[in-house]
Amino acid sequence: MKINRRTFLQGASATAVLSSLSGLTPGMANAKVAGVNSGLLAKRNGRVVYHSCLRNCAARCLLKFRVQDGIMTYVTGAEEQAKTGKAPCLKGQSYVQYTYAADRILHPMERVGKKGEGKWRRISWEQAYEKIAKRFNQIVNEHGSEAILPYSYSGNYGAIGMSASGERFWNRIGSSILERKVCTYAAYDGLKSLYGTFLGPDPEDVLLSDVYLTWGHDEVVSNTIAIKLINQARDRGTKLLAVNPQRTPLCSQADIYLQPRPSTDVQLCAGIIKYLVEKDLVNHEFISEQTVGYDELLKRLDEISYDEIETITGVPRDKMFEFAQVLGENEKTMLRMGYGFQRNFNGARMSRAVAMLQAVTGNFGKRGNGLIYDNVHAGGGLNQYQASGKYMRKNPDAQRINMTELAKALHPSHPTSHDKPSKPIHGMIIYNGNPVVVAPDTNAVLDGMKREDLFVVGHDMVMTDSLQYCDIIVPAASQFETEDIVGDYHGYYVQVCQKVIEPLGESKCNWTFFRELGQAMGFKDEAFQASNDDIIKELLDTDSPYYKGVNYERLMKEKYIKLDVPQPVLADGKYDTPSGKIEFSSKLMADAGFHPVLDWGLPEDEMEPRERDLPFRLLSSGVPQRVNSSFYNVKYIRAIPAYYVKIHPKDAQQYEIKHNDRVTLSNHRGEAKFVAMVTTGVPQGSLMTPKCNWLRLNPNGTDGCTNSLTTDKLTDMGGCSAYHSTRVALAKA
Amino acid sequence: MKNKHQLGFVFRQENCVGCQACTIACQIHNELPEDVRFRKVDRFEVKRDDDMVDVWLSHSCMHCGNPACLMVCPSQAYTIRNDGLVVLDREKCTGCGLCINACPYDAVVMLKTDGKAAKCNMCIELIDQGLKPACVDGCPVKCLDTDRIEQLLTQSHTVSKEGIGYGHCITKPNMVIVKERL
Repeated sequence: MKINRRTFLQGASATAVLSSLSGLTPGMANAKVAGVNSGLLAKRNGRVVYHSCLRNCAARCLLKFRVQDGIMTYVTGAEEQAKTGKAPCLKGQSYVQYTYAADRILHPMERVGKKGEGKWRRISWEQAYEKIAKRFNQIVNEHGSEAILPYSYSGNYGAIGMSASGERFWNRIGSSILERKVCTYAAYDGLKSLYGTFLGPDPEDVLLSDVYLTWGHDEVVSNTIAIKLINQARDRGTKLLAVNPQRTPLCSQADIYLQPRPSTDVQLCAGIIKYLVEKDLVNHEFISEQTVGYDELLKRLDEISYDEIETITGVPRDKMFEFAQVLGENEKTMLRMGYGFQRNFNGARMSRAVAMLQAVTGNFGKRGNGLIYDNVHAGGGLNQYQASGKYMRKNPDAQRINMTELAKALHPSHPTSHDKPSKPIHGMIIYNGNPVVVAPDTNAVLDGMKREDLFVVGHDMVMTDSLQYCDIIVPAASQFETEDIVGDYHGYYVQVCQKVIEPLGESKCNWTFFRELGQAMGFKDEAFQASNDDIIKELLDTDSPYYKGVNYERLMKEKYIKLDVPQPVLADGKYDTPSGKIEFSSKLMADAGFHPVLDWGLPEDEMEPRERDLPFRLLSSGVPQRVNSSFYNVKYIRAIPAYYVKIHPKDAQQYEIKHNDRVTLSNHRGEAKFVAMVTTGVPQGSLMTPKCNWLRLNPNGTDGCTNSLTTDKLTDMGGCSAYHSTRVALAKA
Repeated sequence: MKNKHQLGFVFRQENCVGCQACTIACQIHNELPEDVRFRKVDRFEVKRDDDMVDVWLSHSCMHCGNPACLMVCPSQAYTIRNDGLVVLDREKCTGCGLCINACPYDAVVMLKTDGKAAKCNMCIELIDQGLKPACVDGCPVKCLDTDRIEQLLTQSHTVSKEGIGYGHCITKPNMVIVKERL
């Protein structure tokens, strides 16, 4: 008998779970007294369990689950933590639907058809482990351990789920090292070149700010809950300034909003600083005490005119002056810089320029000012060296594969990494990730994934586009079906993830899977005997000064702890740069081949002519109703569109495209079809489509998705992804 | 005559970010079929000074003082409670659909499951326990609330029945818009 996925879902465990859930679902039909349906309240009862959201979002909400007879019935934010409040974002509110999704994979499976054909046979976990261990041992013997590659990122952000669980296995086996640099790394270098760190102030200090400046960030997409506090600050008089090529909701609500063309931020910053210098609105005392190279900055500003700035950025100069005036007039500005805008060929250079606004206005070192980018005090302070078993790796010089270059590493005949030939990959485990639609250049990734000599194991909750190309699929438990902890990367919190329910069906959480696989491979190390609680204790056994006074018992009791990060940050005026001061002229930049002060280079300068000549820049941003490729299958959420493209009305007119028309975007990498949304929310000449949408769920055609179009070339510094440095052609479909 | 106990939604439109958490919170609490939304969020692209901006309107049943649904219902399935909430007794509903056509706010829907009308009742099972409806508790930016709106209207000059996509209507809708900024 052919067994497909549908047959599997008719399995006993799935039916049991789903029917017991629907037992709590009397729905509208049971209404008794004039519209009152008290049956709806039943799901709010039950045991309370605290568990932090582990999506890749800066919010890190602490959630409060209700559990009845082993079934998760209801979720809210944990009001006890003011940061989260009663309401997480809509995704957090849908975790019951996420967990009990009808398409959860509940048994291991083995491919019986061609790769991607969708034909599977049910196998047992014992069979799965035996087959994976046998094949991995064979690959290691024939090709060496570097022929095996992990692929995972942020589908689970737990300290165990994301890092310790898989890494123990990878370090022990000595696999190729996956550089998970999809997110933040260009700006790390850009910010360090100016002021030596990317760690910033306490976001809760926005209540002390005169100005909140959001730059290249969409608070609604990542960190909706933070808007509560921003609004509270605004009600007390804090001004809201916004800069973003895409008009986010906070851009619409800002006191002043600048909409530059994508990646022209260096020129825009130069214009703002020029004005501040001319009107003498810079902070001379701060500049003389805490910076070097100011004269070189002044000289550089003379080399660009307002005419040029206006032409390149598309921002009217009066508007830019008005914006600069507010920055200059107010004492304390808190700048929130996004992760998205630095995913560009000039990402490091742009983030350096943006941070320079804070330097010339003296906006470092006081409560209520500073720059927030990636506050990894909590996340980075955990003892991952121990927990991830780094001590077990015998080949620390193993080849490194940047996950953005996955297609290149899997190339059927000429694998490369960092522009050099790399050792071929023959085995891979995909977990916490969906490379087919998340890595750039989907078609090239698929060429690699289809290789018959590549053995791929997929560990996920649902049948993603990537799992379709696996040889063996094993069912992943959700984050709620195990214990973990998580360190924030925005606030300074470390928080619990206490087990809410037992794993559904035969699913296993990340650590159970990797621990048992390690045992099947014959690893006798103590590291492969540990429980989740053992690992949590190892993680908290850290030298990080921020974790003073934090231990396992306290964390489990209090559920969340705000770490003791001395405030204000950078108060001593000492910076981790070669000069010990803020460097308006940087050797780091010069050594990387860029202008040491402000570099005018644009992504288009680095594109091949066939891409540069295409008429539109493509921004692929996050949207509030998804997190990367997650939530595409979740009831209620999935009904909210994620296959549209925003087109400026003038561009739409030129191409005779109307709202809701079906359109095709294309370049040499591929093409994808979307529904047109005609809006001034994007500048003329730029398009925006939601990132990481799935191939097989695209209602406009399953042969293309957003990342069918995007570039896998890396950023100027830091080796980060540069999705937004992509150009496309537009046509009516 | 105005009902001083009239409950209504209080919407701070200037803070709404259009995320649709209210829509989802309502669907989850009311265990609605996936294609049924008692609360919807509409986006308006409007000119402010020289710039275009996005403004969102979160809306459901307006619990009107003069409800069209109640007027047209041949089965007398609609009633107004003392607190002004317009509720539908689904046992009396025959599924004729007149209320769906009559409502100017697109607030009433027909459920495919039983062929009867359904709409927001401000989660009266929560209201009657002194709690807030699911949409209010589900708003992560806290731009939605409920209150006795006649008192709000007399006490505060920042509250009105005028907003983007919302205004006076013969059905006397009972949502108010809060506007603290420009």
